Amino acid sequence: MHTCLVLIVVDLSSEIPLYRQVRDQVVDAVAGGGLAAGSRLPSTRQLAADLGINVHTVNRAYEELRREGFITLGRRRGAVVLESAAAPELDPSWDERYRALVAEAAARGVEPADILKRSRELIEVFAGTRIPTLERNPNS
Amino acid sequence: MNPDLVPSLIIVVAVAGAGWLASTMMPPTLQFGVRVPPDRAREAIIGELRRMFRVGLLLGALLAAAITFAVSLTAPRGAVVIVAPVFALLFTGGVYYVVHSRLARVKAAEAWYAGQRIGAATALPGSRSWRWAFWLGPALAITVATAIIGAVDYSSMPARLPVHFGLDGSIDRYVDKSLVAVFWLVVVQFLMTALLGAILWSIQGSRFELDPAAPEESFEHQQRFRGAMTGALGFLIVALDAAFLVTSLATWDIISGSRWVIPVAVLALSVIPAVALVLVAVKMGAQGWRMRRQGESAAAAGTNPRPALVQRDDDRFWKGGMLYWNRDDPAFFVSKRFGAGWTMNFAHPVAWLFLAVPVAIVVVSIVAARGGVG
Repeated sequence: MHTCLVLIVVDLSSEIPLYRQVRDQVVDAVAGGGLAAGSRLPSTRQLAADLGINVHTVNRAYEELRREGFITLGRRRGAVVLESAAAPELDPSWDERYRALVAEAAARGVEPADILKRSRELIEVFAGTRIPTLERNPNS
Repeated sequence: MNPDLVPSLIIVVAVAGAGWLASTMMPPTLQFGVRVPPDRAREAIIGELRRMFRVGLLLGALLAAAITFAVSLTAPRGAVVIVAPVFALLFTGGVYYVVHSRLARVKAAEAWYAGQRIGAATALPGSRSWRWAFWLGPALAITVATAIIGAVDYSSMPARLPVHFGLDGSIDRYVDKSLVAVFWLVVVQFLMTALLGAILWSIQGSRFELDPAAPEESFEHQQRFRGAMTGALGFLIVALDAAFLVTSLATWDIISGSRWVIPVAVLALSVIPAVALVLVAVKMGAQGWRMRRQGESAAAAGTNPRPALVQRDDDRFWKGGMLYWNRDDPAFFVSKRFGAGWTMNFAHPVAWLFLAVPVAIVVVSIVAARGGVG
């Protein structure tokens, strides 16, 4: 079981598909340590009801996460977060997506130093060397 | 004067008062069981309906009191105690339903949710806190102690035991000593402890329905509300168990006081923690919304400014704005829609299991009072 707060927030009018929003936030929580290896995700029915979205949407997000190697899906234990691989391997599409983001910044004339600074800040967030949001209630 | 009149009138006032209190506990975005988008929370119709609700409750209470008084003049003893809550509930519920339906109609007619940017937020269930179980220790200890005292003292109890008390505290029925007559209160005590314990456990597992515009903040408030309500409910369990212990000792003739000492002690043990529970709910508001600080929080949270999302309209799952019915929801314990606290998903089989316990308590009490099977 994970110990710190993991929020899932979906925006129903966003252009980003709902399944993608769910998938991205689970990956974010895995990166930030909110979801440690062995953490259980709620059942697809439960998360769908909690967010008021279709169960197929959650299914698709979980399926994506399984395909990408972030979770396992078992009939009995449900969705469980996996240990990150010993030899980390990025999805082939990662470079493409990263390139698109950097290109967007470069095309807008953002200074390379600024792009690097933003990247470093994010890496520090996920490495746990920076506190990303407000202090949590110690009782949680 | 009919001796049941005053307690019956207190019931009428309590029912109407509970309706009024419940309405004051609700956040501006949840009025009379209807979900209201934040930009409509100041609509004039809502203020109007609030006034209408208060006046309606007052008139309903006066009418129920008048009927109770009329019945007390003619009916046999005991009838008034039934009539008073029935009419009080009927009028209070009726006024609520009229106001609820009107708000729902206006909302639908003016399409309050059209064009809103809808979002949803929840917190993944973290490691379960077991602090609620702290209260079960003393509660179970008192229950077990009651049973042991009853078993040890069984032979020295009088041959006839009181099983029914009038509202003024006088004993109005006895039965011959038997296992049922001696232990039915312990059984009820145990069932009640188990039920409230199960409720505490279910509260810890229930979901967080967060405001998607300020999820961290609403999580923190709901967490605090949960902690405070758990404490107040835990205190209530222990005090009620103590009340059962005192009542049992009195019926077993182990302790005796002047005619009013024991009823007053039992009443204090049940009423004081119940009032404390209500005070917590009133002070914090349903799910702790009163702790919300407008505006500053989002800025303080800082790093991740979110678009102003509006919680989705989920009215269709709430029958009459009060009964949650959602077959697709595996949760059986959910936040209340009118009043602070939790209610059940009545489309979930476990909800009916929960309802079986109070029914069992009533059955045990009736069997025991009849002098029963023992």
